[in-house]
Amino acid sequence: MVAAARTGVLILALCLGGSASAVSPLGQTPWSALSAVQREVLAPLQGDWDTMSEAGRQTWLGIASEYPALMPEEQARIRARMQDWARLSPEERERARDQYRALRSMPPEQREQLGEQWQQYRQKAPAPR
Amino acid sequence: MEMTMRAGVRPDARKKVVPGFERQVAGYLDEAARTLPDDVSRRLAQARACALAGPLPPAQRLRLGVLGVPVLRSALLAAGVVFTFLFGQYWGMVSQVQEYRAVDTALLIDDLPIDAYLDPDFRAWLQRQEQES
Repeated sequence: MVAAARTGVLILALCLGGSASAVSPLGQTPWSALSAVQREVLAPLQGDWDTMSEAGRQTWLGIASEYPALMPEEQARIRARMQDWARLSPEERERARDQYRALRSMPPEQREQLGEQWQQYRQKAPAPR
Repeated sequence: MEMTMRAGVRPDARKKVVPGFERQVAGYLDEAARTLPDDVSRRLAQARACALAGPLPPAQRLRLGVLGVPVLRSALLAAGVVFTFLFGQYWGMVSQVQEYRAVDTALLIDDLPIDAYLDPDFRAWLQRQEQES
């Protein structure tokens, strides 16, 4: 019975510990808690940081961790698009992700033509969408 | 002293701790105890002996719980429910963040601009182009 009591206490401690450790990914991550490198990478998002969901912040922190390994032009693209992407609604972001998955599931030869096809589409349908 | 004898307490132990006023009280109790039925005296003696034997072991106290409800079992059940809920929330969040991180990074560094992925007509246009060709 003493062993069962100890097990119960251990489980309770794990629960409390688990909820405490869950604060890191699930709790609030203020801008001031970011490292210097993270702040530099995510600088375009500083103004929007406080209004972001914690899941959004953790996603950006994940992207920031991959940032140093990217090519310079890829880094430039991310920084240029970061703010626009962060300001989209969750529904718009989800729609973009779905479309990305769909277009990227095309055969490689079709995928390579996507840039050119996008330009053709824009010329035929120039009105902003 | 008779009461202490009947209650199962050693007389020498009482002598050590009963001076003055306390002795008077003990006397009154002994006097009153003479009027108690035998079975009541016996139960009192058992209760006192039990109390003098010390508190219940922790495991036994846990088993008894409040109003007879087994506290340990309830605590384990509640802890299990809370743990499952928190773990589910945590794991859902972690999985979503991992997925978004991979897709968002790929999308943000892609050759195509974000607008291409936001425009629902672009995909339909591509499909029409494919059918025509």
